[in-house]
Amino acid sequence: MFQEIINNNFLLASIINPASASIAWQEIVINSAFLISGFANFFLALYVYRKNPHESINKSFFYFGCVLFLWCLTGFLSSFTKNIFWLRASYGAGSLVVVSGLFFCSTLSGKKIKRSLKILIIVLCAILFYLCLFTPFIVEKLLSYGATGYDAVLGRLFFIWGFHQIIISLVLFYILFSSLRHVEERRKKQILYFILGAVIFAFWSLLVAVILPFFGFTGLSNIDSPSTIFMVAFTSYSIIRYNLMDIRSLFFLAFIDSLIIVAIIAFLLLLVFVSSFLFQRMLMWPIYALIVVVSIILFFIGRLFFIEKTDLEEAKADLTDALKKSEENRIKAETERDKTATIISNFSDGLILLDENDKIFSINPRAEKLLSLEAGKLLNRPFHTLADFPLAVPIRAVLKTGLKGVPNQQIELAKNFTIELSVIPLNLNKKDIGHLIVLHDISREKTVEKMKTEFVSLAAHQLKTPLSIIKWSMSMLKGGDFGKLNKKQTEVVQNTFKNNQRLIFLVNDLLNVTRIEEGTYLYKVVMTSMKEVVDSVVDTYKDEIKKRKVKINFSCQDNLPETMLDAEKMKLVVQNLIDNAMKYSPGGGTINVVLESDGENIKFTVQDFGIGISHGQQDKIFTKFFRGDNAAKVSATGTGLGLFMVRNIVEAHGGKIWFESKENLGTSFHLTLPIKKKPV
Amino acid sequence: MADKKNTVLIIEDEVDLRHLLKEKLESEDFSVLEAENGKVGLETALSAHPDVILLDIVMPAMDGLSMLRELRRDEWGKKVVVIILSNLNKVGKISEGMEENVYDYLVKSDWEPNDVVDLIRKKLGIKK
Repeated sequence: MFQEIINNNFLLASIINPASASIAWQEIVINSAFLISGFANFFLALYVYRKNPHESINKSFFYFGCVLFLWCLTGFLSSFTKNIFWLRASYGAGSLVVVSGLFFCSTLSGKKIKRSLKILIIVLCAILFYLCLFTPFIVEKLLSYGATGYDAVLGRLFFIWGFHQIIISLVLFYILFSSLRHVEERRKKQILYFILGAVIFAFWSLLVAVILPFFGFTGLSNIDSPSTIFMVAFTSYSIIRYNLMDIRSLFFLAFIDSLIIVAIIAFLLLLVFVSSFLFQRMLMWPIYALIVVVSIILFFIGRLFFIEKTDLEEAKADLTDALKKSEENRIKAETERDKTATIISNFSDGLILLDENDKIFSINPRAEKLLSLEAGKLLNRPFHTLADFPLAVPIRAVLKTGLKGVPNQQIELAKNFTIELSVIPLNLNKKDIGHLIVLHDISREKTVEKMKTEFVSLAAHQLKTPLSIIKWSMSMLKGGDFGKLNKKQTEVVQNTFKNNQRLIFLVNDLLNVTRIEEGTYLYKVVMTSMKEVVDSVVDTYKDEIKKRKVKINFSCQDNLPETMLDAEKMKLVVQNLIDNAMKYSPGGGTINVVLESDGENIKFTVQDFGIGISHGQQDKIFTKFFRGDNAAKVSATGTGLGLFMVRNIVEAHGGKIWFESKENLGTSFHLTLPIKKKPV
Repeated sequence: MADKKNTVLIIEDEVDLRHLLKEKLESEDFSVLEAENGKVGLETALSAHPDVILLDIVMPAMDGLSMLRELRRDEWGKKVVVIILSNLNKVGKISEGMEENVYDYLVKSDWEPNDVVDLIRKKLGIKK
């Protein structure tokens, strides 16, 4: 038996007794072919699976490939060991091949096999596999083993195996071909090439392994499994050319290339070695070792590709993510841009954007409407092109001196058409990126303002006329122009006169305040002597002074310089301050009035020793309609508008006003006015 | 022989005011002429040649400033004393009047009839 094993084991025999081993170079070639095909199928299957383990087509191809590998392996072992067990195993594997092939084709073509049918097929196949492997019913006896084939006695149930192979193959091809009609063009091409490879393989295998043995000729039946290389070749081609199973990639190409190159090298080496008789004896077993080494190399190359593939896959995923994010950001940016564009085009004010070269970048519809512009003729033109449009000419004139930041400039473009112009310089990260010209239509406001002013003037005038008549009537009455009045009559007339006077003051104050608020308080500014202003006021108040029993000490610095003032308004200021000082010094007292200058400013002070202003109310003193609580107690006739007006007038002259006060001790009001000379 | 009375022409559309002033001035020994608007006032002034004209601004038919402009075209009119009595503030329009050689400008609601009389006397150089 030992001898038998040795005789049957070619490799062992050649090591022990090289001289006696009959060198069948065909055997070597065929055995190598088994291995190469087997590993090629295995690696291809593994690659396909790893590429997309969740896709059903990839999974079924993997199973198919593994089965093919198994079949090639059993073929190799059968040829190498020339043992009937492995021969039977190869027949068993053969039945697995057609079944897994069937499942793969059904997945590839999209034609589903019913679950029950699937189970039936698998069960049948399993039975057949068992029969092949463990019973003599398929392969009964092995008589001899050659290079390309063997001489064997086939079992009684061989025909069942044969039919199984043929029928399943036919069904397989039926599914493939019939699906060609229904699938899309691309799938068709993919399938076609696979079919080509499968056909060649099927034809070859069936011929040598089934049909010929059926007629008693098993001489070629050893070379069935290597023909799977055709399938590998055509499947690979389909993958590369038509992206079969969607696994085409550079790495696959590289993998296949290296597979081919290595296989060719190995084959050539083999031929070189086997062609020389001398070498054959010595190098037979190294040849097999070479095959194994090559396979290992292939395995490692494959692994390398797989690893690199994973890295590449990750990089691809990252890139896809980045692209996706970039796309999302682009969409977001575009949305923001569109939002901004919508805001600008719907903005209620006219907007003209200038770029950093003062070229017109954009004009919104409102600006077009306001200035009767044609945006088409102005875009990307220099800013001065605006002057082509008549309504825009005054704007261009205002900005001729340069696009400095213009805060709010009112420009009357036509009768009852006034706009407020603002120029805003645009800076981004300290870089000048242009200017924004804002046109705000204030025609309505201006009209309303004008109407208000006219109304106020008219109202004041209308109010003052009857008030004047009453005043004059009472004046003449109490002056005795209409006869002497008794004490009571005099009292009544005086009261009437006094209250009428209050009304007059109120109307004046209201009129003035309204004018200040609207900015229509015109200032006729001329070189004025403050001394003269104060003198005239003190003079005016001389009767009142006598009546209230106050003493006014007016001290003025010598050679007080004149300055540009609105004398009328300053008179009101002085009047107000002195009036307050007197009003809030009940029971008389002294009022100090001081005028001095330090060369740059004129300083005016009114100091009283009266009721003062309580601490808690001092910050409200200059607000409209405010009267201190203690003031209201002393004098019912204040309007609360005087100091508001005073501050406005002083500040309009560029001056400052402030006060110091202590309740019940008195108040000092100070104001400074800058000395301005008449412009030459 | 009694001193010839000084004549004052009051050009004012407000009747009550006019009458009050007239009353006052007559009690102060002035001769008073009246006109209810600028047009009538101008005619009266040019025919009667008063010593002083008291002129309101806001009047129908012809306002005070227009009347003044016309008046100053006349040889006599150029030199006559005119005192504007108005309730308008002395800004803008009124300053035009000031440039036409007006003596003074009084805001009616700020002054009393006595003040008007004093001013007239001052200008004409009359002692009380």
